[in-house]
Amino acid sequence: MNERVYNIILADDDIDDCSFFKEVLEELPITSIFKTVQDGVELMRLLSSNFPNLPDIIFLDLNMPRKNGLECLTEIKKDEKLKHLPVVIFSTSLDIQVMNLLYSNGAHYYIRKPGEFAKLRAVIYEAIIAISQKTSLQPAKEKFILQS
Amino acid sequence: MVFSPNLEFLSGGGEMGKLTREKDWSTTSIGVPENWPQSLRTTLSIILNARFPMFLWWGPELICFYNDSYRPSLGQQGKHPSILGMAAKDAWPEIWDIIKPLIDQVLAGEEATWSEDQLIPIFRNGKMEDVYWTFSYSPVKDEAGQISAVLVTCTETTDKVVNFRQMKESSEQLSFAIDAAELGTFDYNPLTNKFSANKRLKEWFGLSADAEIDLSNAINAIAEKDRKKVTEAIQHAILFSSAGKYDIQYTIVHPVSKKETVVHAKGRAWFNEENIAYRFNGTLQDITEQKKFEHELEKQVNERTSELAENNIELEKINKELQSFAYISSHDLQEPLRKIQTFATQILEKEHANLSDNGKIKFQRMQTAAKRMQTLIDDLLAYSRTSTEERKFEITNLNTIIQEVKEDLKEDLQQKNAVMESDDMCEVRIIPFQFRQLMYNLIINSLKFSKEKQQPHIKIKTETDRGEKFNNDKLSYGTKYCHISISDNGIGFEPQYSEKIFDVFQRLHGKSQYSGTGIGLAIVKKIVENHNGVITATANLDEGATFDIYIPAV
Repeated sequence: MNERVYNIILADDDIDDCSFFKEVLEELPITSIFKTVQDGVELMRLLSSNFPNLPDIIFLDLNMPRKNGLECLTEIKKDEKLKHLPVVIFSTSLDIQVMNLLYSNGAHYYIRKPGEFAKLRAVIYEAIIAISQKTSLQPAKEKFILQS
Repeated sequence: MVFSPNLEFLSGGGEMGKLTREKDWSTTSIGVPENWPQSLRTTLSIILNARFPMFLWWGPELICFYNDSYRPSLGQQGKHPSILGMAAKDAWPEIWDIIKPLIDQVLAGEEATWSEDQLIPIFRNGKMEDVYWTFSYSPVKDEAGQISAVLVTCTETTDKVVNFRQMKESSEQLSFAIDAAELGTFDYNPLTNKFSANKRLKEWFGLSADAEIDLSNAINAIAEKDRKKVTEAIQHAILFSSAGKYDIQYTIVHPVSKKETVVHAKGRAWFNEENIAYRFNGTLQDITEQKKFEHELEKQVNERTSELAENNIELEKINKELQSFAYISSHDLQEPLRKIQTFATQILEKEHANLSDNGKIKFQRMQTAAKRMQTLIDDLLAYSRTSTEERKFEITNLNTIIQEVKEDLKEDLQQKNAVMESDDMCEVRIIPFQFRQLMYNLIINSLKFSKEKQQPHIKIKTETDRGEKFNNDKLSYGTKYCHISISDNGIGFEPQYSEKIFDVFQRLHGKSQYSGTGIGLAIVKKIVENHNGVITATANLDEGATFDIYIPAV
């Protein structure tokens, strides 16, 4: 059992995905504080207002209203106070060009939302564990996409 | 033959001399030659020995004499020799009405007659013939100074008249043709720079009806833009080296009315022994209407072409919109489907025990349906990606692609115990990612449609040659193609489906028999088209299938 408490934020406008994520965290053998925001604007507001109480991991959907995931990622990585935060992309699409862009903009991992709850659980767990072990270092590119 | 001194005047004279001498004259009104008066003797002597055709009517009965030169005009099977010594009236009954007045005129003491190319039909060669003559009737006086005979000097001019008439007819026919064709005609003398033309041509050029004009007057009526061209063409045509040919189109502008006439001029030059042109003539055809029609046609063709181009642009736009629609919609369709699938796995994990047996079966079928929908969406996405994605061509050895696909399909190949044969593969200029997909789809198809009781055998071959060497009319002549053929020993299909199988969602088998969405071959075709290539399929039921791909060679 991991004694650490993980502070996790999910930015996703999809309620179902948020509830899947919540259920996954409830089932994982870790302790977590979980927060969801519905779009990029809300995420950025939360990050700036909660400083220095920042999350351990940000899970970021790409297609969101008002401010999308890529914009958020770029802003976070440009901000001296936020740039160390590990960002995991959590999206449906699998576009090579977009993925390259995300990696070069500093995202840690890329999770393609699977259609199987067990796989979802596995892949989220993998991301949390990987980040908790290597802290803020961006992994090698070939490990960018997490598949389970 | 010896004559009595009296008849010396009848010596010589060829055939007619002989006939005259031998004839029994005692039965005629002028009696035997021994008694003929000196005037007759002298005249006859002149006639018989002359080389010019002559004829004589002597005495009150106008007894006929003629010489060898005249004789051919009587032809065969005619009056010769029977009219010798005959009275004129009996000898020439068919023309008596014509010649009697002339004879009477001469006998009455008037001047000798002169007739040129006069038609006097006579009986010869077994029939009445139209014969033309130039002749003169002149009086012959006897010892008493009385006019007692008519001497006819004549020459037959039938050939001349007939030729002349034929020439005239041809000339009339020509001018009729020129008129009917509404042609202008010109005749130019390069030596004098004088120029003559028919009325029509002069009207076009606005030239006076004078017989001859200076060429420069005509040149001035040619449209400015064509003037130089025409002058050069004429100068060229009158050079011996040009063989005299002249064929040109230009516009004439009437100097007063400014009416424009577009003409097609054709002509030729004639050269003398020194190879200098002495004549340059030809025709002009009015092609104004024809040109107008051509312009109109051209305009319409251009209009249609640009309309078509616009339609094409519009179509392309619609097509692109459709493709991005297909991409976006299938992308968005994934979302709810993924939810359904995730919820389903959650139920399966946590609530499965609460379901009745029937519920479990229905649930299983629901999952199968969802799975199928996912495949469909994935395939549709792949299909639309082949047209939206960036196309980066690279020169690649086909073998590399095949090895990669073999690696991807390792398990499937092992499971089916399949044999794959690919000899020397050529280098091709391709979009590697797309071509991998193409090979993948074709090979997995071969595996899918293999025969149950036979080891699948897939053969890949390549050859490079010109379009015309292959039996496919869609290939361009002279373009080099790489021909890739992929054949198997599977279940094949009926030949009538060889085109249809490339259509989207086209399936030849029930879903329960062979799974699939019917998009695989549509993707293959699209990829081949992206490579400016051609693909055909040939097969027979139960006899395997062959796919022939032709893409432009490296």
